[in-house]
Amino acid sequence: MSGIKSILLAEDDPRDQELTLTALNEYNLANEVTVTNDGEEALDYLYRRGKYASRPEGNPAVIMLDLKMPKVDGIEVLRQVRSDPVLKLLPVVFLTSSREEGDLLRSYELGVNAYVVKPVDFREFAVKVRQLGLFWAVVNEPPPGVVKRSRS
Amino acid sequence: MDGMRIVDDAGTIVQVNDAFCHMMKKSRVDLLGQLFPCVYKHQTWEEIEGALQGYRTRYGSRTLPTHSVADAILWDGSTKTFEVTNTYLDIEGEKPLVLSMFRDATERKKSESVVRTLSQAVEQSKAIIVITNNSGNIEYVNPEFSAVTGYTRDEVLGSNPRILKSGFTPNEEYGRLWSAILSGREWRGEFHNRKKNGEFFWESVSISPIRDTNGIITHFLSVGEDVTERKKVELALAQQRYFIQSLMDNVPENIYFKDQNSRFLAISRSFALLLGLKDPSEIVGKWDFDIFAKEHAQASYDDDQRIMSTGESIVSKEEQVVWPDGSLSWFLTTKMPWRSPDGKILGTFGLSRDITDRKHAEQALRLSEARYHRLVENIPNSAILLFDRELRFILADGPELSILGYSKETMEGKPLHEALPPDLVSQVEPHMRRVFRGDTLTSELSVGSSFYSYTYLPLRNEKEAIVFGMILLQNITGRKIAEEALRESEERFRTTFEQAAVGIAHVSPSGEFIRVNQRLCDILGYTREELLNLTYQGITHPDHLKVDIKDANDLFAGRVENYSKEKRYLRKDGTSVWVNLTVASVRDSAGRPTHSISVIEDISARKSVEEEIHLLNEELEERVIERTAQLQVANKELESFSYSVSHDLRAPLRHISGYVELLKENAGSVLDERSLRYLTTVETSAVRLGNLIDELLAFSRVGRAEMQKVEVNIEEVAKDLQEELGAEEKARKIVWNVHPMPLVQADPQLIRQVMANLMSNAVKFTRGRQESHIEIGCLPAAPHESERVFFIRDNGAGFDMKYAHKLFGVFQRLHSGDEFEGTGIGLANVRRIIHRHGGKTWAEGKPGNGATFYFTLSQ
Repeated sequence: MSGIKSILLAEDDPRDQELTLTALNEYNLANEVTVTNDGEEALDYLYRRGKYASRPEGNPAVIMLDLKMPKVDGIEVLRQVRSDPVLKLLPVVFLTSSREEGDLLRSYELGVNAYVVKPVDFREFAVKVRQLGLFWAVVNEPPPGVVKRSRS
Repeated sequence: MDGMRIVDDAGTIVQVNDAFCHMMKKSRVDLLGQLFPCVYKHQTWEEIEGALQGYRTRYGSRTLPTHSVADAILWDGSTKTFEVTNTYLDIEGEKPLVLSMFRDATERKKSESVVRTLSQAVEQSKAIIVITNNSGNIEYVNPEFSAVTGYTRDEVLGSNPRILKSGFTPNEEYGRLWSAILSGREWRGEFHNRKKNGEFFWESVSISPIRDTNGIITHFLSVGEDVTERKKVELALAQQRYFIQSLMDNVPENIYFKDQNSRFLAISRSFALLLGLKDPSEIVGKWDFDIFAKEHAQASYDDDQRIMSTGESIVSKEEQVVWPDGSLSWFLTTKMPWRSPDGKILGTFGLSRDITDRKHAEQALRLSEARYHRLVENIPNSAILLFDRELRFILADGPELSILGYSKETMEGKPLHEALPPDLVSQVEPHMRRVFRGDTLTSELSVGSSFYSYTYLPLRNEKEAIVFGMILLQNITGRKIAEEALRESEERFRTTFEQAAVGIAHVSPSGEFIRVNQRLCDILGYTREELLNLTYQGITHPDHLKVDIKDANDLFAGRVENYSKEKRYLRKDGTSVWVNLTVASVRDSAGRPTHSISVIEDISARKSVEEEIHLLNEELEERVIERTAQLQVANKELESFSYSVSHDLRAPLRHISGYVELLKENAGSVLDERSLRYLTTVETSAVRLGNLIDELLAFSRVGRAEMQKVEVNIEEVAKDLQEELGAEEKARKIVWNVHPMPLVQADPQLIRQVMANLMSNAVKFTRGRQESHIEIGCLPAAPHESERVFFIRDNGAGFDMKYAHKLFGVFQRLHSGDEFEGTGIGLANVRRIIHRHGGKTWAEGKPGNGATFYFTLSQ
């Protein structure tokens, strides 16, 4: 098994952060997750600025974004990522409560790689999040420039 | 002294006295002894014998007349009348002797005869003879008097002749009469007397006195004659003389009378004037040789002689007269023999007129005949007729002549009455005569179905005298028909124009109204006269003026043939009126625009309605925009609401569910069973709330989503869903019966939702059945009906029809969640989708006996 690649999670709700991380942790993926509280922080992370200015180089294997966030929302993060020549190849996954058609349409138009509706039922939710984490962080071969870490 | 003679019985004279001898112019010796008859001369023997015989017989019977008158021729041959008285002398013893006394009655007998003759003459005279006494009373009238006056002799004897007075004879005449006859002179004169029956009569009378032997006037003799007839004749003669004199003095013609030697007896005054004479009497005794050039005089003399020798007239001869100075005149002359009443030719007389002017004109005419010919030839359907003062046609030409049935030959030289039929003559003659009074006139005549125009005009010579009349005749049938047609068409047009329910105007290229109808006046509020002084530009609303002028220019320039538009005119009262104007141009034969015809329809009523509608529409649009904006705001709000619900409402649910799960994992071992059940209930409630939210969001999306109608095959959709649902319920036995169904126009996504809802319902509510029967189909359609009824029938739990109205409501459920799970939104969604397609939904069912759901869609 190749090394686990890191995941960038942008989620403003601490409960959702906890539940998501809980779900991912079942496959020990949680340690590789960087959690940001909104889109702005996520972009700061990606561009290594603000509080992430000193982080080491390397991009996450997948960016998991909530759609609705304060300051910069998920759609805006996606738009900026896709318009950046360096970042544009990064897989972006929306993890959202919304099943709204408009959201889906806009997301795919901007080139989202996956759109996952968070189920109300936690067990279903946990299954989906774990599958996502596994796929993107483990199964999927990321574009070049993604940080890999060997599993200890 | 009487003569005495005595004769014996034998007739022998026996005694005579001296007086007898004297009477018989014989001596006594000669007489005595003679037989008495032998005294007279020329006595033959037989006569003597006869006389003696008669004497002896009467002597014997004593019947000798005592008194007798006898004529006798005496010896010397003289005739005497004797009165003889015979007496018998009886002597005793002897034969009686006869004594005859002779008295010479010769003188008396003579005067007696005169009176008798006179009396008879008077009685039988045809003269009216009246004899009065010297005091004037009538003593005698003859029978003629009675015959003439009617009075009988007895009626008038003793009365005065004044009974005959008529009163017409002047009293002075009577005065003269009396003074003449009383002084012994004769009076002659005429009385205008009255007859017994009242009639008047003229009497020419001679009255003379009658004197006795002493020269005393004893009587008056009136000898008269009824001259009434003569008077009449005299009057008539005087009149005739007057007539003739009038003629001779006044007629313009030259009249003459000549004797047998062609010497003039009399001429008319005009002739005298022509000849330069002061008085017509100056001509008497002259002849033609004194007046005319010799050659003409000779010809005229020859004519006279021929007329007298043959008794034949020369009528209407046109003769050229040569005057002594060589100048020429033309006369139209008629010469005739002049006869006495008994037929004896006394000379000649004649009548002539100076026709020199006419002759000259005729000559001129002949010269210009070709010109007339050309004239009429160049006037189609025409003819020309020239006539003189006598209404004689002297020229007839033209193509129409023969069409009318005349010809040059039948007309020229003919007087009017010969040339034309009487009915036509009566029509043209008065006009022809008026021409010579200087009138020019035109009349129209119809001949059969043809119409002719007759123009009469005088032709004058250089002296302005009218010499001829001319009739220019033209067949105007074509023109008449055309005129009639034109009149009819104009009438039709005028009627149409005037009675049209729309305004009509003829407008000049520069914009003046040339003709307008009443309706237009009504529309514009102007009178006809006012409009005719206006232009369309002057009454066009300023808003349209520029375009109007351009349109009119385009029309007259031929860039368009007509146009129609709506515009406003300014009425006289200053208000404006909306009209629908249709304009077409009218061009002359050369293609130049003469005017335009404008048809103007008052559409102000429609316009005001339109404006009202327009205002309403605008208001409505505004309201729609407003409402749409409101709706958009509401939609936006709804969207953001849904969005919030979608995001924010589910998150806490998920948290509830998540943390309950985490709690169960962490504290599951220490919790009792009841607590665990509580946690499970919290969890399932959260999930159910999540489902509810999802369904509600889907429902709200249906209302907002754009619909795209295409052809949808419901049958395919049903079969597709059948598979999906069948896969989910593998454990159950479901009998599907999907009938063929028509294609419909609908949004495929939404129809799929409808079918999914209904079919899943059917599956769900047949859950308790051993065998589920689900039938899907379409009811047969009425012809030409595009709306079709689809149904989904199941043999499931059914429902009570009294709740049927609740079936399609949001959150309305007829079954508990324990029996059949559900949110109560599915059927609401179905109804919403079907309504958005313009269809209906309904359901039939019975509790425990299945249900049928219907919806309609258009093909």
